[in-house]
Amino acid sequence: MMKQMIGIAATGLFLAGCASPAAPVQEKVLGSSYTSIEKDANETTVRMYMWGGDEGINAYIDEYVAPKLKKEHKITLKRVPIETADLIQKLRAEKKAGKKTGVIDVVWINGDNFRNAKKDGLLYGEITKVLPNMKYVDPQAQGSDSGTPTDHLEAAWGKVQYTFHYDQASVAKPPKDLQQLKSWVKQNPGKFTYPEVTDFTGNAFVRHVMYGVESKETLKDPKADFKKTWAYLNELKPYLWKEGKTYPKTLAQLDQLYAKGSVAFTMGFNERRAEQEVKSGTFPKETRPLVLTEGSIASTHFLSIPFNAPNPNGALVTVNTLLSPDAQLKKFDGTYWGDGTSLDLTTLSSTEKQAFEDVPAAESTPKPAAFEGKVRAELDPAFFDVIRKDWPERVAR
Amino acid sequence: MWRGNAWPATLLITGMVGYGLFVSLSMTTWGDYSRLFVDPVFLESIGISLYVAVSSTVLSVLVGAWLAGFFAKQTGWTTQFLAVPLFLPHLGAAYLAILYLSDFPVVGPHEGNQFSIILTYLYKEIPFVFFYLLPVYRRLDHRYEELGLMLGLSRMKRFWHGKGVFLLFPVLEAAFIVFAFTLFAYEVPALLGVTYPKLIGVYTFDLYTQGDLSRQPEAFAISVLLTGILFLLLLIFTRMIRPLTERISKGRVE
Repeated sequence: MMKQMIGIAATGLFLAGCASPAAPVQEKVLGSSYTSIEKDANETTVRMYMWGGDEGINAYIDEYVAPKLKKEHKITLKRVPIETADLIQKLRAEKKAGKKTGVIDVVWINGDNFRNAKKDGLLYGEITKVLPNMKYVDPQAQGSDSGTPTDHLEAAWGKVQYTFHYDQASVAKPPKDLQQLKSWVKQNPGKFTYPEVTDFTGNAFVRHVMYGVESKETLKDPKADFKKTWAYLNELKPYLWKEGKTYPKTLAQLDQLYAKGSVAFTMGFNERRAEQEVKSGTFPKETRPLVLTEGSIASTHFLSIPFNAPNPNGALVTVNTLLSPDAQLKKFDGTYWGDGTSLDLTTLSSTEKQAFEDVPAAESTPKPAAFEGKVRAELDPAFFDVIRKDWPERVAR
Repeated sequence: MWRGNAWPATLLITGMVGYGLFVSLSMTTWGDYSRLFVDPVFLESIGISLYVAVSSTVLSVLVGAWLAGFFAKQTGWTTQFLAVPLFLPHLGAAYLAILYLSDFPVVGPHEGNQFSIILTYLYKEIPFVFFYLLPVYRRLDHRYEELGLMLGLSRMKRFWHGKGVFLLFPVLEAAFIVFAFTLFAYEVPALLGVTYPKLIGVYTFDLYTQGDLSRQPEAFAISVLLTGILFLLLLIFTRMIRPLTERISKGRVE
């Protein structure tokens, strides 16, 4: 009996022991000068929670950013891989439970997840107002996150274009627009598919089809009936991989199919994303980029700080460092990641600007001219929801 | 009947499940439940999930029980061979299925008949049922069947009185565990399943995480419903079948 009581008491203690000292108050941190923030961040640990599905991105953080922060600010950066949607759920639960000090200092966020985080008050505050390196950031990229105004709650970290990649060995004459894509798919059954619409990239593929086939009026109204979009997708369906009876659940699965040669196309936000995959031998050497005449949606991704970050000073310094021209250049470079920069290059010194222009592009990366006149703004998040709601019934079923 | 010190664990588990159920209930309204019953996507999802869960359960119990009966009389290392799949998690088994079944039509991953999901479950659950039932088989007293033979009982009756009554409840216990697990699982169907209709675990997770989160109440409603169904099953097992088998095995009721 005694042993049992001890067991229960220990469990209780374990559960109670999770509390920790309170984080510095928001107003105090965001109201102080960057110099004092930097001083307070010295010799602290910063936990950065981010999507961990790409080895190049992980290597960029671990092999370049972490040593840089250690050297410049004695900050220890710990990267924690997590799905961003799970991260938002975690923060919501913490908010509900009244947990004033969490475990997350920096988050990588955009789109839906930002909209939800903003709505539920899960972010720290107007962080971009105190960061010196915001002066380099392109105001266009910074303004809104897939249609949701950022209101200084997050800082633009990178900007990418939706790009298709195909294997030149099996696609001799690449399609130029959606109509040609449809004919190609019909002539080559089983060699094309797209991720299902719960996936970020799959949902964006459907939005590209919307841009291509719907009228200007319907594109303004998320409540419209997108008949032409569903019709186009249903026409493709019987000729897709597995006859359209199923779709890859994630972009990672589509990439695997492409790497194996099961399909001839893959796609995704980030025009340079195939560089690393080709170099490491995952994607075929003959991988080439493709931008359709209907255009390519531009997407910006952001960094933010949760409402209950245990180390907001360290988090601010980390975000500021990630926005510095040299960190952005390293990220832009294909060595690790090859992510489009969120900086406005005209704000940089001429040598810094030149360095960006000197970064060589692989054959899998489209020339900047490929996007001329084709950059499309992201649709309102309400479109994302409509696609997720209607596609399963109108197309997948 | 509990051996060792089970009640702190029981208290903890009951507390966690109870609190989860309480939170889920507080997140839902009647409207969410009634909406579910007219939602064709949900109904098709629950249909395909029941098909997968029932076939995985029946097959793994049949094969597992047969193997346990066969190996009960043998000693040595052969039974340990069956323990190997227990060390590999379901997620690993699902990746094996992707690796080795991908090129098979009909059987492979992402097929409408869900065979690859069922096979993955069988690979893990047959050994589970086997090791669950092996000690029961080994404890069976063969003299009951010999007695039946002497009394001139038919084959069926001999089996029932000599083995059946002792096996019935453990078999149902194993079946319940496998059924409850396979009905609401996430990883295996997420990796191997088709886009439409999704298995209920995947569909619920999507409702919970996707978009502006306005459909979260429906996800909670589904988990309340499934917990309710499983609880009802458990109640039937423990209140009706267990007392019955105990009475029969003690020979009080024919």
